[in-house]
Amino acid sequence: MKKKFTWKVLVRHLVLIACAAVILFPFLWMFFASFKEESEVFVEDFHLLPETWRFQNYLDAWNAAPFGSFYINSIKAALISVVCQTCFCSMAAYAFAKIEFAGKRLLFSLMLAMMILPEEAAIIPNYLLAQKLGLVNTSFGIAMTTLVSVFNIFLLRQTFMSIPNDLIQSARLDGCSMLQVFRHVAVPNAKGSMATVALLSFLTSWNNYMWPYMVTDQNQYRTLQIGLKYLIKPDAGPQWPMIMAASTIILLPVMLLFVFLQKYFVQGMLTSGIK
Amino acid sequence: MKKKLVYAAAVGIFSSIALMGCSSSETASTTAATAAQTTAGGTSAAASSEADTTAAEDLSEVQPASEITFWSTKEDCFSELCAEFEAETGIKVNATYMGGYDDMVNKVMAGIAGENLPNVAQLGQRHGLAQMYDSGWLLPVEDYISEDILEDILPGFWKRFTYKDTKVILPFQNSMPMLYYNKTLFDENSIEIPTTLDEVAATAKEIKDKTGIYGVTLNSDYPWYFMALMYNSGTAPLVDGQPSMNTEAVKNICQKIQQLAVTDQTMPANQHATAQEDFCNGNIGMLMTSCASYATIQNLVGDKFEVGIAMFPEVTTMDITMGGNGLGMFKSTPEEEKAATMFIEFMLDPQRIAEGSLNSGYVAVTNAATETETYQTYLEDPNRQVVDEQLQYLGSAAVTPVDSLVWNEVMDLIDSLEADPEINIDERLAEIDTAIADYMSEYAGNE
Repeated sequence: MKKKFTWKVLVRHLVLIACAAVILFPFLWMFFASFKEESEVFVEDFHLLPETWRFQNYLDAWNAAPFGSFYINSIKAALISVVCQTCFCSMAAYAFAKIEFAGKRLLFSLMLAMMILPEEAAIIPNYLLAQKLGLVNTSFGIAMTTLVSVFNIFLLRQTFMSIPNDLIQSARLDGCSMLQVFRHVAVPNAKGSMATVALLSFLTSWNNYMWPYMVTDQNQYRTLQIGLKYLIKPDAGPQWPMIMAASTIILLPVMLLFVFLQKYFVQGMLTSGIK
Repeated sequence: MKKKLVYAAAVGIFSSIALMGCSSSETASTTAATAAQTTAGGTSAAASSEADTTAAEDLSEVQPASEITFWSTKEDCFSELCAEFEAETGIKVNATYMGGYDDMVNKVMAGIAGENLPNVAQLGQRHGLAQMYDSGWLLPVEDYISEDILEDILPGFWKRFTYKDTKVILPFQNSMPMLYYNKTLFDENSIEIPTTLDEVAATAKEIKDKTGIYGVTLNSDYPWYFMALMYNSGTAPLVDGQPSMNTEAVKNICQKIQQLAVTDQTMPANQHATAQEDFCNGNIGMLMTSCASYATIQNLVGDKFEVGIAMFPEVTTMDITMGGNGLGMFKSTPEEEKAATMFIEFMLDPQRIAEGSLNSGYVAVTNAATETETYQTYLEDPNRQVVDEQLQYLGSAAVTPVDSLVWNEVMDLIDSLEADPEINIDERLAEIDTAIADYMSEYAGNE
């Protein structure tokens, strides 16, 4: 059925378009700046589109650092993070949501309190741990700090709490073990949130800079975010078009992932009650 | 105790750098400082043996190791020079790029905690040297490098790399703050080149009145220029071991920053990240930045206008602070220390230093380098003559454990000055002094 035109709808759409433009602008600026000459990036008479399209920036950026191996390392670390987070966070969240055990509330509160701790405060202990475990300069070492996320446990717990206890009890009466209930009842009912967790963990790992930098000291093990540093000279400043070209290359998989998982992402946030 | 110092410094520096993105928030630096102090008082985890600080052994009879590691802040890690060194000595240099100076400090601090350090590293003068040396892992170069090289280094460079009366790292790629100006614009509008901070403010206004563009700005490492102005006012963050930010001299600089950014609006407020690009595109008449940026600036400006370099403005005196980096050696086996010594001495070769100056903008750090033909070619450029002339004023910015704290506090202060016309400068400067005093007291307690 065709929606009737009203001024209210028009205003609503104009506001939404304006908001979308504000969000999109930095991405568009980044994309078009990646084709500009260095001297054209910051000019007084602002223009979004480049005067001459300089595709060479992409080649220069790619060759300025070993971005090929950085890409592979980022993907490896992100995949480890996604697999571990969806696995560990969902199990922890299910336990906090549906299993009764002594000290549950205290443990959950303590876990939430960990969110207050800044990541930087744990860098040295984490580094020492990685070194003792022989994880320096490894993909698992890079992913080490993103294997579990308190926020994702919280998000999945909210989703699992919305599953009726009757459903779980029915499955138990039908002979399901606790693990089978989790596998066949809880997880299928939390697909949206699981996808959200997968996306968030991918993003966290993909955008991680400080920890991968600390835990690697050889080029062949480094990730994309560290690669951007290769385009900033300590005493001469950033090479903007190359940085924008590299950023576009880095952002591409994230944007594709978001496009494909957007439905689950929104659904997951809604079912968890976190908006 | 040295471990505590490292953890304190590391957490402080990590937090500070992570919080730099918080721009104007006052909590940024305060939290960073607090984090450092708290950790200094409370952390004793992760035991590992401390490096001892015994005197250097005689390495003359030691055979050098066949490989060494080198952490660099230059993207190509001096690959050609490393290859040349290997061909000459048979010692392979495994060089890795570690990003900027802040990244390097982070990495070294973690390396000290984990006892996983390179043999040689390019260390920025900005901060962290005191903590590295106090940890016992940074070897004093004066015990290793040949007397000839040590004596050949221009005295001004040692001041920033000397701590507790010991030459801790070797000057290598060093720079000074300079005042860049749009020479074409100055000539066309008959504008005089300023020599003092007051004149800079007046000239910035003249530029704005005559051309409509901004008059002046500070480059993205803006705390460095603020501190350079402090030294040129005859003061420093610590004077005789006492915090001295809350002084008339510092207040005067704060007021001048406010005048430029707020009252006269001749400096774009809080837009330092793109200062270099803005200047190179002809949108700003003057730029305070490093002489090391000369080659990049010339490249960015192209044929848009002619670039001029003037001496950094005087306030009440000329006591120029140094920038850039030096080469530091870390404790390892005698064989590796010998190879590291050879590598550093190789890098300090006069011809290589002079070529580095010509290709970048760094100043030559040894007398021998200034006598090479390459350096004479470097001096053919009148702008570089000004840089060379300014070398005589290279001054006394000493290394202190509070360098990191001061850097972040000054950054936060400038952000506030440019954003908030109502800021109580006396109060803010007093707060910084308190933070410095607290940190120094905690640091002294841990030593």
